Amino acid sequence: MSAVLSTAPAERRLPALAAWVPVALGLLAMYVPTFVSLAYGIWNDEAYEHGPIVLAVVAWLVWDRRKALAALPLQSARAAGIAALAAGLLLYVVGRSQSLPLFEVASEVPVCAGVLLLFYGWAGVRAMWFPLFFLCFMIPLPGFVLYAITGALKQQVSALAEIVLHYANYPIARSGVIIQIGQYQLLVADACSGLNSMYSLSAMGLLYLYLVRHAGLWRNVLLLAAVVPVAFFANVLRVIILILITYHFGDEAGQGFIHGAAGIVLFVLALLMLFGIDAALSLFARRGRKS
Amino acid sequence: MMPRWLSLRHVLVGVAMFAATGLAAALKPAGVPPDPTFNLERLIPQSFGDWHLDASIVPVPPSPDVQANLDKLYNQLVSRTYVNSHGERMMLSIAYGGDQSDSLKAHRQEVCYSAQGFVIRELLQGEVDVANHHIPVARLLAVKGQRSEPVTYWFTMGDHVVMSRLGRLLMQLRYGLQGEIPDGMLVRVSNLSGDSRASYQAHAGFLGALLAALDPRTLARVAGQS
Repeated sequence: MSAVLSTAPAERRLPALAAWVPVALGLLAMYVPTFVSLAYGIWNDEAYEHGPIVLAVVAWLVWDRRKALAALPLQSARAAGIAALAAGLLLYVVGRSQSLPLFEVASEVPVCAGVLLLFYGWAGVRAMWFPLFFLCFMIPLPGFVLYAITGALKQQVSALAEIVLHYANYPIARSGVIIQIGQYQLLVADACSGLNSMYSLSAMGLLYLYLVRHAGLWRNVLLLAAVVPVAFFANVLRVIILILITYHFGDEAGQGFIHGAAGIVLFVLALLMLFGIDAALSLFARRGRKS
Repeated sequence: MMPRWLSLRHVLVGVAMFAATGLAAALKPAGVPPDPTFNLERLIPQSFGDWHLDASIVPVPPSPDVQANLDKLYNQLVSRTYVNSHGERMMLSIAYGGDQSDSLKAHRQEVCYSAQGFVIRELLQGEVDVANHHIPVARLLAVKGQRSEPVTYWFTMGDHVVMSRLGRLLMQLRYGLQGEIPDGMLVRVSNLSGDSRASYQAHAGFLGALLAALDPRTLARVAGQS
């Protein structure tokens, strides 16, 4: 099929961009209202505030891959494309009309995949697999999953912080997510679970892996496996630091500016830790090649 | 005849997308205007059966951040302590939300309690049979330091008691695709006791007396259609 099409390249190329106008308008009509509602809604929530960043990254990734896509021969995986598009549009209609952001945002993935399949076949999906996959980070976790993970993480973070400070001889006691240190009683809140930083850090880690494109499979796997523990321990460290600040400098210090700043500093630190692990792995990789 | 630069397939895909936006807008449920006569504070009696409002206990208001969260989630909140002739006390909390769509959903109490520093000792599914209603409920024992609090609670959506997450989603879609936004309630009874089994029984007795004292319309909204 591609052989047939490539016999008339000049004729095919020229109208290509203009032909996309109806599809582009359709996508804008669907998802601009979605992004507006998200911007007024869940993007304001700490748990989902990485949403706009993911969107920007996806836009950049697509732009980055546009030449690879344009170089593909025009071909169609028609049945799969129609199925994906139809499923995506249905998800969108239900999600948008019934205020279910989970469905509405999730529909982006099958809709975009469907368009790619219809016009570029499976090769189109392969060319854009990473942006499509990265789009999944925009999908809001359903509330009950979020609560379950947040709750479990909070317990673990509080327990670990207690153990560490107990061995450092601080007067600390814990009941569930309430920590008593000296005369202060602290509640480990949802935001302290570290789920947000875990989620954003995983996204950043994946993006990093995609961009540096290590050849060895095991190096990618190891780095990927390191993301979640790194994010977890960075967060335990943050909670310990906040507890100590409260203990030594009082309540206002612990709840004030430092509370917000600690989050950002720890995020950067965790990211650097990941890069450090990657650098260490590259040392091993080089030595392996020499021997 | 289409202009040469247009491709039929691209146009069809674009049209399908516009159709989806149109359909989504058409299926969007219109909000039901709030019913001004529905005032829980007035509709839930101050005394019924052997129970009456315990005036000796002034409820401690929640901390400002918790209150802000409550205001966001619930439109009406009745929070009372009742006492009977044996001096037993029951805490009743009914929260009403006019919009149970995804962003404003009633919270599962085991999540709320553990977020407040309680440890959840047990979590059971059960049923309360009162006033010709079989109400599926959740029971849990929340413990914080010296405070041991057995809890019985359920959720309603529209005129139905729905406990499972999938059930709530399907119920929301059923109402929503008929053009309605379901309202919902959280009904919670608890007391302070170390004996959770006896307390769950006592909750059922208390609820029986309460529901028997409600007018039929309020009963249907609090306990679902029988």
